[in-house]
Amino acid sequence: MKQKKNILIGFWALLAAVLFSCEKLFIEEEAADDPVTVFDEIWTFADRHYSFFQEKGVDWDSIYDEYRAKVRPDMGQVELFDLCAAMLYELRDGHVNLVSPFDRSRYWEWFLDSPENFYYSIVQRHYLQDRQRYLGPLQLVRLQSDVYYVYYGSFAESVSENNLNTLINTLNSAGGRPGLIFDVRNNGGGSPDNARDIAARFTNEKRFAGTNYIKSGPGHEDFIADEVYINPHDGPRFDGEVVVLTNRRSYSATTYFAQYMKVLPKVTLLGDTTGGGGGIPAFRDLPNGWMLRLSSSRFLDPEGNSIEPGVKPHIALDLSPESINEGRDDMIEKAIEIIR
Amino acid sequence: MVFLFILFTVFMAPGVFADQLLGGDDCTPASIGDRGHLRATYIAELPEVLTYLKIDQGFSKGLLFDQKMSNLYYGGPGGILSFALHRRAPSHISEWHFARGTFQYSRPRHKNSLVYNFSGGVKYVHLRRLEPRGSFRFHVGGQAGLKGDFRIIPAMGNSFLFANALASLQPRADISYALFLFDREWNFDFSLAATLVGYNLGFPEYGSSYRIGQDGGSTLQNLERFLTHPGNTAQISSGLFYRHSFGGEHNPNWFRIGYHWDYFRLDGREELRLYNVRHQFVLELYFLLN
Repeated sequence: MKQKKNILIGFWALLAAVLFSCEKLFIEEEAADDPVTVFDEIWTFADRHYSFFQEKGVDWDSIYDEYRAKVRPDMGQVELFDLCAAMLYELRDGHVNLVSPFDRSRYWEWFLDSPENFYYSIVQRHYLQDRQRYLGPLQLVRLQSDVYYVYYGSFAESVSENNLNTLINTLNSAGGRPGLIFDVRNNGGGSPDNARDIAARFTNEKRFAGTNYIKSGPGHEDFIADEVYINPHDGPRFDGEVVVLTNRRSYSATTYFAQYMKVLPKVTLLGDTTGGGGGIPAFRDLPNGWMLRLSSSRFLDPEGNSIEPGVKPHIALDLSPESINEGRDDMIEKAIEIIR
Repeated sequence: MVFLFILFTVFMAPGVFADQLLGGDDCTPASIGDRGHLRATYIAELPEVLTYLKIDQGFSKGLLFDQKMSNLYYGGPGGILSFALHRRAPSHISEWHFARGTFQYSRPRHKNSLVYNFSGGVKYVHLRRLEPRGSFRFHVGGQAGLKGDFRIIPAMGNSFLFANALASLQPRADISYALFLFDREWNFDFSLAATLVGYNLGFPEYGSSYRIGQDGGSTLQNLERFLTHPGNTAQISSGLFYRHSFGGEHNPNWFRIGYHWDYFRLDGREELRLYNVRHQFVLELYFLLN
């Protein structure tokens, strides 16, 4: 009897040991961190998740052949990083970044060859001065009796309900027919939801803003569609004239904001085409400690045009060198004209 | 109807017919022995159905592998806290876990990133007592649970969210073994449960990562939805516990201390799998309420 007990206890202990300590037997093997595996991981993740292959005419398979031939098992981390960064550069996308402890790959051509069209020092010295009111990240100033100006530098900084209520109530209580200049130049983006919340304050009816296509499978054209509407906010809204100022460095969520505002009836887009960045990024933690993000959605406006190259303004305008020298911002001056 | 039939067939039938299958109907508290440390006269004063507040607490060591996020193992320490009502009747045991949460702090081997893994949910367990055999006691039945599992990885100015909400029905079997050593009764419990059927909501649907935090986010996402079954899901829970009373012959409260191993595998779309394995060192406290 005692022997039987010992056998049972031994069996239990063995079963427990197998179950409790060998779970890796029941899990797929994790990826190695050698150059070949890392390169393949980057290429494969892009192949399955990147959203603009067809739109940009990128032949990703031939790019694989070209760059994969240069990968050696003994290559160093910096050499491998530069090679992978060069491969990702072929996507011509500001939302594609490879991040390592020693560098961050990027694509900046979407703004490098374009006019700057924004100098914060001019705005600060000649328009904001020290008269502005800070509503969270919004800087609000009354330029003239019926013209208000707001500068918003980053959609990554959330604007609260109270901030927007204060802004709208200020406009609505100004008397007369005030107009608003909403300046999002050099705003590098942040949350598209934040952009939509702001746009909802400037319409009294539901407006179709476009369709978001989100990657839903590994095929280059596997997408699901999600129609995006701007619904009027339940709280205070403003229905006067609004002029939105953009330049090429109005990127990512700011491009979304420009598109959301463009479909509203009393909104004029003024300045330069936005920088684009219409793809919401997907993320990958790579086996050697690097990180990768790339666009995995695309957005088409109601006419079916992609916003990836940027949203065109209703009125195109660059800052003139003479005005810059005189400390004048042509876009703000033109916006004042439009409102008045 | 099909669902109810499966539910009855797999979960209830073994319990309902257990006595006929294994023979015997002598399942009185005294013969089961789970009140063996109490004085007989005190047992007579207790109600037939004992209701306990059960508090589980402990530490864990986890291993996470989420192919939507990476091809890396993430491992690290964590904790567990759960509150339940535990009922012991002559014919069955039931548990209602009304608040149950775990937290896991995990890193991959390169240590450049980390994952905050939270989970929370509720669970109901119903086990039918079977005829004891020698020092062994048997319980069979099932459990139904609803769990949310959230994996947040802060990176590149954002926090990327990967999540699952899972409803599951699991058949379960428990075996207890009583051993007399050093003039004391030692109880060892082993339990095994495996997912039979359930439903999964996964997020994101495929590969776009939901972003929260500094650099914004987007709700423009869809959910991955599918029925789970043994072909695409494996969830095995097992445990080995030492069980004993708090003390005297008039103290009905007791505790279990032990080791719990939980293995979870979910085959998502496009062969993107999620594995989550946890070793848990748990102290369970049972306080009589009635």
